[in-house]
Amino acid sequence: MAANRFNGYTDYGVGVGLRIPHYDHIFAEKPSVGWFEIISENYMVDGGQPLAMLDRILEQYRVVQHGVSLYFGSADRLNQEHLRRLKALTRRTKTPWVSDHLCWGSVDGTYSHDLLPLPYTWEAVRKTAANIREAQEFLELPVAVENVSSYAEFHCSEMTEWEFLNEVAERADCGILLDVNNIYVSSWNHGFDPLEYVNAVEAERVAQIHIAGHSKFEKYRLDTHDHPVLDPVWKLYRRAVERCGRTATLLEWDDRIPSFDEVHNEALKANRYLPQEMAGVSLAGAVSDDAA
Amino acid sequence: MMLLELQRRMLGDLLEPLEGKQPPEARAGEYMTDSARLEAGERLAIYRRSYWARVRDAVAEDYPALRRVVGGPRFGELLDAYLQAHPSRSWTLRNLSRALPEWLAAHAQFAGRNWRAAVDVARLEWAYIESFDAASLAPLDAEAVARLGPESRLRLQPHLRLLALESSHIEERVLAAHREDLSAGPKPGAGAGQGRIGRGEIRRGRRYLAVHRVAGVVYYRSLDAGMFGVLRALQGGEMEEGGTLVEGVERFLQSNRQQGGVEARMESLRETLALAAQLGWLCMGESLS
Ligand SMILES: [Fe+2]
Repeated sequence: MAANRFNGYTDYGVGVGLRIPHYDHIFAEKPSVGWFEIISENYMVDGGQPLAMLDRILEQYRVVQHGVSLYFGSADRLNQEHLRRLKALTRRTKTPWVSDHLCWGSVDGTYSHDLLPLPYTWEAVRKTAANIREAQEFLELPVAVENVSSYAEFHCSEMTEWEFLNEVAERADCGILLDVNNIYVSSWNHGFDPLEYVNAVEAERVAQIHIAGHSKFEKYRLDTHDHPVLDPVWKLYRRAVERCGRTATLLEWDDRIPSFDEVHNEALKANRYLPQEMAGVSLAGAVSDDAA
Repeated sequence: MMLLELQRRMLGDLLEPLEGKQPPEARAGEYMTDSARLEAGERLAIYRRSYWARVRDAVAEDYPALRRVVGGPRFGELLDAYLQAHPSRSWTLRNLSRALPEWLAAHAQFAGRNWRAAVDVARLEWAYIESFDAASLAPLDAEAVARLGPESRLRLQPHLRLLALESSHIEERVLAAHREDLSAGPKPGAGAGQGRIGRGEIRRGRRYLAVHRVAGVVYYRSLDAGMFGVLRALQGGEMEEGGTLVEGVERFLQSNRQQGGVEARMESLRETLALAAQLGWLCMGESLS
């Protein structure tokens, strides 16, 4: 189940987000890492250092692209220049799938650069699914859509967030990047049961899982990606991989970034919960019998 | 509420300046719900504060030297005024501060007494950003340069930026400000050494600079008026596609009619082409066929 058509039938295991402060360590020490997730937008430039560094990473590591500004849920049409640049980058990285968020962020061509929450309406389901379909067809790659952390809800919503996520994924026929930290943060802010969310997600569509740390304030939780993963989030993760099987898992750490080893070790804790073999396929390469 | 209507309403609310007279939080309940712990307005405020923090940081990070020229408190006002006039129209934050130098040139009141220098510093800082991640083409080698004829189609390196400034002595201060901010960590303005760039440190005087990239690192190089004129002329016109050498030369000769005789200008042209070739700035333009 976990290597599926939404992640290009890959089995990547545990990865970490590629961050600039770690470049020197990675190039010098060449740590063994399952894969790196990159923020696509950081490399959608014409040249220079960003692409040169990426090429060096690509020589040695598998890279998966994660985007932050396609805004599938914006009422605007998808930005065509963005799509073209994104596709060019996918050819460079050979990413098996591409992810971005179930949110909106721009209207009438003005951008917030934030992952803004959608109203969970049928109109938003249709619009968002159509945008994801367009991206998927244009990119010629599987797209996984990620649930975001949110701090607001709208009067006009007609369903729960997890019903909305499932409806969109089904209509777009796309994958899901399940962020269990975001589920936890939103559940705290909105007062729902995070396990109900995890249990409701269509497990066979989950292409990838995100784990991360967040910050606690008196009246809300904020998705800051500047801490180790908290216990309730590990609990949700355990339940998620129970349902989804061995799924590509990535730790996000974006602020107050510690050493590479610290980030990597935190990510590798996921192996405590992640099934170490895919059903019927040993990781030692039993598939090669068929390929011969 | 329809999706488009809701998105226009919410983005409009986020873009309201934080110190505005009519905070949109008062009416957020019209479309947002309260939660058990937070009222609709408080929920909107989380997003509005984070919007302004994000865009302010993004622009501030691009202009560490400009902050030192205009001074901290005034720089905050400058940022807000600029961001109200130019909210992001691009999918990438990288482009958010693109319009700042021209905007500042038209809004002297935000820069104080150092306005002209501030505009020059902003131009230089933006040139650094553009040069940093612009495309780079394979430069012509010595042999190809020797074979250049009037109809050769040329273009200059896309990462080369040419600047005519009215203040001198700003380049080193700009570089120093960037170095200080880099070593202070990711939060713009977080570090020590926030030395103001004082009025006495900046002198009036025409200054021509080339900003370009070598092995991933952006450098500046000063040019004399003649070289600047040649390069500008080569870069002008159909620069994107690459114009012919003879077109560039004609542009140069026309634009500099008053400066020296033909001989002197031809000499300047030869010198500039030699230097540009040596620095890898000359590239083959698209051929017409
Ligand atoms: Fe995430």
